[in-house]
Amino acid sequence: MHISEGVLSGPVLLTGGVLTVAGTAIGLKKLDFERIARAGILSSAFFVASLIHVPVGPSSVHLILNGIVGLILGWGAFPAILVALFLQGMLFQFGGLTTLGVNTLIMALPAVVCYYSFGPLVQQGNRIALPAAFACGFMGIFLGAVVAGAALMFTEENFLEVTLLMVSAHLPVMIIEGLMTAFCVAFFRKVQPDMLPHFKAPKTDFSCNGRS
Amino acid sequence: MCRVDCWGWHRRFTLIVVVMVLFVFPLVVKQAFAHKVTIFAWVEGDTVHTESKFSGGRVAKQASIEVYDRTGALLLEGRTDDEGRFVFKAPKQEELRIVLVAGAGHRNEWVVKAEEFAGHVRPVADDDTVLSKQTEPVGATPLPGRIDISREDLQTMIEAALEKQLQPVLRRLYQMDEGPRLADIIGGIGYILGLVGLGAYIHFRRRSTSEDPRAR
Repeated sequence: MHISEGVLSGPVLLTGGVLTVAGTAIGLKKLDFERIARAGILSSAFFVASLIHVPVGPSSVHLILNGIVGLILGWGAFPAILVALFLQGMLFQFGGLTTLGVNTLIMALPAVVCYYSFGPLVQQGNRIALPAAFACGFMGIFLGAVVAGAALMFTEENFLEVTLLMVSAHLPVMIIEGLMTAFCVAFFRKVQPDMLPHFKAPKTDFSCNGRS
Repeated sequence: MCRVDCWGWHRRFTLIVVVMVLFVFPLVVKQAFAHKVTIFAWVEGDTVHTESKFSGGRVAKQASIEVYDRTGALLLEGRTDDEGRFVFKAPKQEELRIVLVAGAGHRNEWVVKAEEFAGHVRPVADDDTVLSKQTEPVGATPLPGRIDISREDLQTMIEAALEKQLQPVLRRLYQMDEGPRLADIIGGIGYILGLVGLGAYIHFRRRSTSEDPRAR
């Protein structure tokens, strides 16, 4: 999902950069103090996730985790992913400085979309929440592939073909991340439900079954 | 009291899970390198051999290769075979920029320097004359069994031999480029934690100046 330097044309890079700056500004505004540490941990997870890679067909794909990052951070996904991608570019030579904006957009925009589409659902009953979480992880990558296809459209000239290639290449990762997101959400619902968006604190103390 | 204990256990468990995911998982997964494509090229005589692969060791099959000269003019194009190799006869024995385009935004390049071509005429350095004086003293009679060869020929032969001997080493070096090292990974995480600390610092500074001016 990391687009290398020298592939995209100037206007595409510029558009990606501008949109990323806007998203990061909104994200930083919305990052209150409680979420800073959370954003840091998720940013680290995202940073490392790219190293876990799944060999598929002629090439290889890696975990991206943008679905779960978006679900937990909302707009905060922009700064978290920007920082992680910057460090990946500097330390691992994935992507690059000029493509930083576009790459951030590719992964953070779907994260925010996932936050708004699946955030309200994960506080519902298990029957809705778990499929929603799976869809969140799945769609995070799927939409990322679509945005990447749109960015590449101007150089590789066939949006449908490039997007199909990207989507089919990432299909295994979509499924893996869907499952991971479902597990994470199930875990958070039990252990720390306030990690998930739209959490309303229950009136009674449910954690100790009234023994206190 | 109980409440604190319960949450303490859960929190510890969460922490352990996070640490596992962050640090242990990438170490356990051996093939833990991401999506980058690299190309390596070497010269044998007037032929240029290239090898392309994705980080993680998978070869880049059927990826397109473009060869440019120093001025940026396209000299030739081609595709890698199923082993990620592409071989071509150098159209010019000078600096060549070999660009690999592996599709879906993957691209990298390798520059073959003019000096790598054996036929490339190198300007004779000053200290070469010293060498020639020492090896061929004026007026010396050739020893029996000695073959007279010119200095240029000798140089070409040495270069050809060196080329042959060094190729495996260079290729091995290229193959050893295994992507991110542990130090890079830990360093990156450290940077992010530092940013979190910076955020916390700014937050508390702002709060202490705005909330309670009397305390200052």
